[in-house]
Amino acid sequence: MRRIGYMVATLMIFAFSERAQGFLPPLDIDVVWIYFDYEDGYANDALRIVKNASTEIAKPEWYPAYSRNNRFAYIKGQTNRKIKVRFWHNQGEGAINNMHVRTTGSGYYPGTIAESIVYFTSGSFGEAILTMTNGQVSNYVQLWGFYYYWYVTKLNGQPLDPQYYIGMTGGHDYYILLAAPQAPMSVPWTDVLDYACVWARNQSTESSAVTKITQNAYTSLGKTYNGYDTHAPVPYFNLTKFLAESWADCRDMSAVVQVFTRAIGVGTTQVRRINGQFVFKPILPIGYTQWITGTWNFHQVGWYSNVYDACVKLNQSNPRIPVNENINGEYKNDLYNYGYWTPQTPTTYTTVY
Amino acid sequence: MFNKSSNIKRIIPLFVLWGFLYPLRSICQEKFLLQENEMPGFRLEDQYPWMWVVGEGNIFHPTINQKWSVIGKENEEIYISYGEFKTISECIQSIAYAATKSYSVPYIWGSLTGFIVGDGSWVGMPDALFFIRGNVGIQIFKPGTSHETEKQMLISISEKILNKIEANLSSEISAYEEALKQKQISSNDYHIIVEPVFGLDIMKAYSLHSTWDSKWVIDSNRVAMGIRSEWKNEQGSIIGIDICKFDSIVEAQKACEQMNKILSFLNHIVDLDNLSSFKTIIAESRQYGLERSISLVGSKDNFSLHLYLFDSTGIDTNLVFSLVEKITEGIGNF
Repeated sequence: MRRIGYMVATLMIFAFSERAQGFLPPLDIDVVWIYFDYEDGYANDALRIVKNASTEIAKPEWYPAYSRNNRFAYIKGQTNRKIKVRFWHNQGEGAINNMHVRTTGSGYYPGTIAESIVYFTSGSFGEAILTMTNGQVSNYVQLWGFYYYWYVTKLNGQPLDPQYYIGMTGGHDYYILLAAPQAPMSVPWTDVLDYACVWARNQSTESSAVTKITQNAYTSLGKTYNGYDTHAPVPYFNLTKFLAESWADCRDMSAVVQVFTRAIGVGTTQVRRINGQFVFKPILPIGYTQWITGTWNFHQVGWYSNVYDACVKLNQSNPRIPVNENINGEYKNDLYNYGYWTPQTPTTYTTVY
Repeated sequence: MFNKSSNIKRIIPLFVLWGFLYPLRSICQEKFLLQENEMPGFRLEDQYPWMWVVGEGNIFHPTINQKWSVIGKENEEIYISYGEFKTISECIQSIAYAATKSYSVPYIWGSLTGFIVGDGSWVGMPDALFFIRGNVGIQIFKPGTSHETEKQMLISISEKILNKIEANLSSEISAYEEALKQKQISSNDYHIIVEPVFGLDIMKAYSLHSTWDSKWVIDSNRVAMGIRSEWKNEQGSIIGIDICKFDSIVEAQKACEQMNKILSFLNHIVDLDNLSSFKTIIAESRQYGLERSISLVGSKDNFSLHLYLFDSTGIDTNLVFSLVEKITEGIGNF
């Protein structure tokens, strides 16, 4: 909890009214912690997310006593998000029965807390589920943050004038997804959302999000192509190792397109394999600085009714990362040179670990 | 706070995964794994379960992966996968599939160095190597920008692993190999067959570089043992000749068909009585950009031949023709 400098002076003034109402100065009220995901499902609160295959997100997400400030996730357009907040006061058990609080906000907040009552039912501690009103989660993918400024408006039902400023909480950083995350990433990893929500920021449709994630996976993931191994033999994607290592093959990159887009709620992305063998025209594989030709046993691409290939750039004279291309159209024309070209039925990674 | 139902759904696939990785403990034993004291100049960064796609592309075979870094060059990584199989034939066929079909970039038969690596090897030029010894398969893989010198590093590491495998082969596999040796073509017969080759002027530039027992899969249960030698010239060009003797003509033909599948995705079978057929094979290799190496497989009587060449300046078709002709002439001496 960050305090504002003028609080001391405010408290000096406030002490007179406290004395009048039977409180011992200096009055101190704090926000102890905040849960953004406090119950199953996401009808009221934030989505369940994890850091990766082996690490949960510790909750309450905001808990300064433990130096904790974890991210959480909402779906675009959501309103009336609820949070669970614990407060503390320094007046001793029973001195304060209830208070009313409200917030203002700064940054990209999905609503503020209108005046709401909090009961101190556990000694000096009180908890309440508070609703964010007068706003909504933005209508596009993002990774954003906000601060809340907390005020006590009433103590034991008595209005305070001026209202007592508790302090500021935050920054509350949160992911905005397109829709409910999909298997095999129905519980999204923040290790994935950290990429996907930045790459697809400001996108409000599935197709534009898949496009941005494909393009940024090629340009910004820091991998170098190597076709002699894979982290992603269908249907298994060893994402943990993939993220830890510097190399990738076409299966890895197609898995990125499927899994990263599904993590933000795209429902139908898959991968599609093209069996060869075939000699390919000049390509610029991910991480390469020189265009190459060669032979592939097969190639595999991200699939969203069309090709989304995060592994290569095609067409040396006018390079492009292929997105939304017909597998037997311009994509084949600029990739395939000689041999067999046999697109298989689209398939899906079902296990990510 | 945990969402219990979501937790269970998330864990189930991991149990499935552990289910097929679990046999790793009993099948792929640690006796083959390199230790840090056996790899001076390298640091073992990680060791973890991995998998190869084998069979006909529908089986995941559990392996153990090691990640090594070069001390002083922390961004240089080497990955080594160790996989053990029940039988030699299963190992050869599985690794052949893994090497030639399960990765997007095809591996090419041999080591392209003059060193025969184990019972068979495939190289991804120049930074990846698959090889087999007995019932053990190994993949060494060095991602990143590659140089020719790194090929020697891979060969050097493979020699260390081969020594460990040799010292730790199971008694069943050793006994099986001993039985194969009893029926192996004799060294004398091998030399009689390849002797006509040395009448070619060009062979004066080549010297014998390495020799090892070869393995020819006849079917899923049977393997035969041959002899394989590689000759090398000063420019680094390689000529390899592998001869195997079988109990029957039919077995020799079957073994050729199996070897054809093992070598690569291309057709390698040549009719030794109609040598013009190999020109089709050379033409196909060139179309796939493989103009610097070639493998030919053929049988005559109860002998089978695997002839392979690597030449960094390109394959000399006339040389290939002459070699096949001379070896066929040698087989005709029996």
